Amino acid sequence: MQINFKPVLRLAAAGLFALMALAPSAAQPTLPATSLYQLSVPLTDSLGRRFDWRQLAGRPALVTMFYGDCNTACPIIIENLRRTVAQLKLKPGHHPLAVLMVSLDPLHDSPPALADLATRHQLDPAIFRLAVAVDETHTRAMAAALQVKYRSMEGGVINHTTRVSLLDAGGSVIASSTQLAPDPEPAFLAQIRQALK
Amino acid sequence: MRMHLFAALALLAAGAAAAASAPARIDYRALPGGLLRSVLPADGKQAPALLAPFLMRANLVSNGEFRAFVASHPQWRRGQVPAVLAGPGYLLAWRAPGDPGQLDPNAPVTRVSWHAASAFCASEGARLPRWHEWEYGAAADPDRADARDDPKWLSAILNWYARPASGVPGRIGRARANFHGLQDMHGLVWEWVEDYSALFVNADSRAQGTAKQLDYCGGAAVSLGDRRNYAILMRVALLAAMEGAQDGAFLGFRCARDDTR
Repeated sequence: MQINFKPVLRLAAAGLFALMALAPSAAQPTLPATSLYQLSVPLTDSLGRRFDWRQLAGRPALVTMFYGDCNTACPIIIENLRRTVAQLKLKPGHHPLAVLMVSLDPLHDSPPALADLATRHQLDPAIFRLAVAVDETHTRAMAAALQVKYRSMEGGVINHTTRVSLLDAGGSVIASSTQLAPDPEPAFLAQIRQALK
Repeated sequence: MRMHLFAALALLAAGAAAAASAPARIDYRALPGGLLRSVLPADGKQAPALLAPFLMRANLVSNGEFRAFVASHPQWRRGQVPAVLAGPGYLLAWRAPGDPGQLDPNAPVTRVSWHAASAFCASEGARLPRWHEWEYGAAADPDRADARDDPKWLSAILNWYARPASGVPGRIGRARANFHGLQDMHGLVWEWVEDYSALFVNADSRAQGTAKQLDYCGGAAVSLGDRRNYAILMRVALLAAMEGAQDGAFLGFRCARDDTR
């Protein structure tokens, strides 16, 4: 199952640089071929602000997908991320890390519903951003990039795999955690600390 | 896993050789939707899926059409597309990044990632069909909207899957169109669906311990229904094993649209 991506990465990077040379005014700074931000995902956050997740580039980010009306695994994921950030003991007013949580349910998770969720879980708005994509296609594309699998069932339930991905400042995946528990995995926490150095 | 996957892909045969070949054209057919008895029940147990009316491309996307797409969308050329959107196998059989070379322009394009297939469909104002839509379209034979209770038909489509493949998929449009006017739903290639990442299944509910259930927010993976339709189950298994940047030598696609009329 090991696939050697390196030659292709080089090729793709070369192609990207060639493209940059042709179009120096391109809006995007140079992103590596492994950057998930190569995929444009237009989002709306809980405050109704429109943005592309590419705008997270520049600092490390934790990204996961969830849905608001979930009473089983999702509150555990939210609690896990809240404790993760708490354990990093960031200096007040210092935000070297972004946490992006994107809804799997673009039909039902409106910005006000996400805002309500953020308040209920006491998430620091300077670090946590809850957002939703415009439609199913963009949500699927983002899930594909993050290797999240999900399926909508009758009655509003969405079966989904849980995966929190740690992206570096350029958007490449450094590590991911699929553990479902309120407390963060020590190894994953260590990788986040390393990324923040 | 990958090896097994592509061994399975290699088993795919070219469609039944019929007389004349029709070139692929952008022709969407209207399908009425309604209730579908699916191998993936809507509630994970036995409820039928409810489909809104939709439009589906009569034909698979061809090498010729994909060539025109990468000409007008150079960011999807081999070598320019980033690895996260298309892996090392992307359009590997093409002679040059913009040129399928000796590949038949009327054969289905293969070795395309989900992201690339999705982008192609978006370029014609469409999307990939969802699994239930594809399954609905694929349930028909030339005379019946749902031929799945006919063991002869089930066995005939399985025969196609069992025939050894010869290098590249054959031409689009050689087999008779089905009841909905769709061609090559069986017998030519596997096909991407928009919600390929929804096709995680658990064939054995005994595997679901407490820890296992917690892998999935809102319950465990669904169980498969109607196990007689083995050809369809093979498709679910294949798509369930794929990732969005991967491709396959016998994995193509067609597009669909909501029917907003």
